[in-house]
Amino acid sequence: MVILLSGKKMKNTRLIIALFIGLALFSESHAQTFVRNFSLPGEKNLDVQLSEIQGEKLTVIDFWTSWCKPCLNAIPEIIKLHEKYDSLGVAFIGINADGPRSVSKAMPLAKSLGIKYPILFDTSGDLTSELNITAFPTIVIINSNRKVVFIHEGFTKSDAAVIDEAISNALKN
Amino acid sequence: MIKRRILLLLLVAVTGIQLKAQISGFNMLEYQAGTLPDDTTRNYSTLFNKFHINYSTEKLLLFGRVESFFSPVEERNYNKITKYGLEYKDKGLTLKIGTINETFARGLLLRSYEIPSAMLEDKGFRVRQSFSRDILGAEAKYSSKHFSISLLRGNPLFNLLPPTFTDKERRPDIVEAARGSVSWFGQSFEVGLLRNIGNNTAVNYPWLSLNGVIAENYSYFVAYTHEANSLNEFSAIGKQESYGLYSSFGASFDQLSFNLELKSYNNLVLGSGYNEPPALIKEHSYRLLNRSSHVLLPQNEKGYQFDIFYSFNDESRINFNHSLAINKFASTYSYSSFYAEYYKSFNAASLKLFADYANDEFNRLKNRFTAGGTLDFNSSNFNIELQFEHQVFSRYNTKVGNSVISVEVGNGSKYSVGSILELSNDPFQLTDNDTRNWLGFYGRYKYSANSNFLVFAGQRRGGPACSAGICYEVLDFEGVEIRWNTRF
Repeated sequence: MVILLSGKKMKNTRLIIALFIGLALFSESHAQTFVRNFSLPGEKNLDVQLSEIQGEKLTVIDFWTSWCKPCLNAIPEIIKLHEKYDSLGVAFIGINADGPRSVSKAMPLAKSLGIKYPILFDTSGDLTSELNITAFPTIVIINSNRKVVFIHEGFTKSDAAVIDEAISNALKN
Repeated sequence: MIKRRILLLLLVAVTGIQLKAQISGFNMLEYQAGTLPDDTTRNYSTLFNKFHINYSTEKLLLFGRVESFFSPVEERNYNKITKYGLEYKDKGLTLKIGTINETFARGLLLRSYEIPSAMLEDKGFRVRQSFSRDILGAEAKYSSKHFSISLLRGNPLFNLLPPTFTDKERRPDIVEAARGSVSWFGQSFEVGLLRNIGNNTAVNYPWLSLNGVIAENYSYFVAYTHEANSLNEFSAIGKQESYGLYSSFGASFDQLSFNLELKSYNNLVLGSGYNEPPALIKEHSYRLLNRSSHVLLPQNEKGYQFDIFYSFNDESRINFNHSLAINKFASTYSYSSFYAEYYKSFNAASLKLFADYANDEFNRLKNRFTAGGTLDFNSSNFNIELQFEHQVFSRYNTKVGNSVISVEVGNGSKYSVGSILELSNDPFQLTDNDTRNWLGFYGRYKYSANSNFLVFAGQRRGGPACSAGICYEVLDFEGVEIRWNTRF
């Protein structure tokens, strides 16, 4: 690496790189355990707590924004999964992460896409930050104890089967 | 001192594992070896790392973040705690201390944010940093089902100065705010007062907002603020020189939805610029449109945005958007755009087509026409995405053209490799030749649910970019970039 110089500087830089790699490996070896009982404003302008709408067995949380094209492609597939698993103790929640610039488009858009599950608004980004959501859409599946059992970033058409399988497997456990 | 105490508390918490407590966080390591194409510095490489850790129980959250940057130039390097704090929540009460996020009146008065995948680098400082704006201070909030109040005091971050500057330099303003709201039958009314203290002078901005849902299908939002430094000025609506008005109205009828937004801002830059009034310009993921988006000028801007969306039964959808922005300075400048997009899904493929027509007087762009599309083929094992965009406009009677062609092959979200080629004959981009091109290759590999590698090699065209409603400048780059993201 070009930033590596000579002598003491070289030694320090190696230490720093080793530390960074250590931090990355530390991150790699630990897994997210549970989602706190968050509270966000819902469609009717009232704060809704996760515990009020979480599923008896599982909860599928879709983090989406109105400007993200893969998010809009994913929603019809998530609606199909909602119809399939709704009666099996699986709740679905859409968390809209639009900022102030585009949040006003989110609710009309959700309605026209035919979303029937609750939509909550994380306009300040507090929840997405806390859960380290770095890409949209991100689909998180939690169990009844709010333990994360599956997390998936991005969406292409073949991912619908992956998410379906994850729900199915989590229901068996 | 406070910083050290909070980190010590975090360390104690981390080592003393409690029932129902967890450690979570992420690490992002980025290595760049390359140069800015117009820069004389050669063989320049940098290393950036961001490590964030949370310790949380059901009621308590402690967090800390360390960012580090190393380059061959000593003055540009830093190793700094950039975020730290705690949050306590219990029975409607929320207390936050440290670096906190808050947004008032849809950003008219205050907006903090974090764009996790974006990096900020200025051509003058050449220091890379993560892209966020927070407030260092404290906030107390109490909310019940129908009522909420909050108090905040802190120093918003002026993120154009990199972490090599002191906290005092990067947080020049003090913000004090109080707000309260009541919500009933889907309608919410909020009042608040924000005081900005900077350069030993204080200015006050009271605000009010109305927000509601009517008959489930209609939604509205109105927010208004103006500068008011005496009691008489509080009620001088429409008479103050510094003010902001934003409103939106949305409706949906089965598969059809529309949204209308209006704005009127004048002299609405608070402090070092910690507010971010809604821009009312469509944010595009298409490269050429994103790069040539109108950037809001809160010194004076009026306008509207109208958006229609229709979703067909076969999952196809159409979107139409029109926006207008007028800026009055010594002269009057207008920006107008008409945008249409069609998306069609087939069994194993999808097609997206778009067209946009705009005129941008401030940047002297006439008859800017942009069109393109994306074709996606999918199977259970792989997917191919082809993208094409072309843009033409006239500037100072010179015809300018920009194009983007990209191809990506991948396996769902598991891995992908691709190439992107950009071409331009824009005189602002040229040195000797008639056209200039940027060719880059990239790869993405998600080797576990929580980790991925990203590699880029080649040339990347810079310019303005907008993400999550925040516009910033991306520098041109030529070289190799490796990014390793891990989450825990």
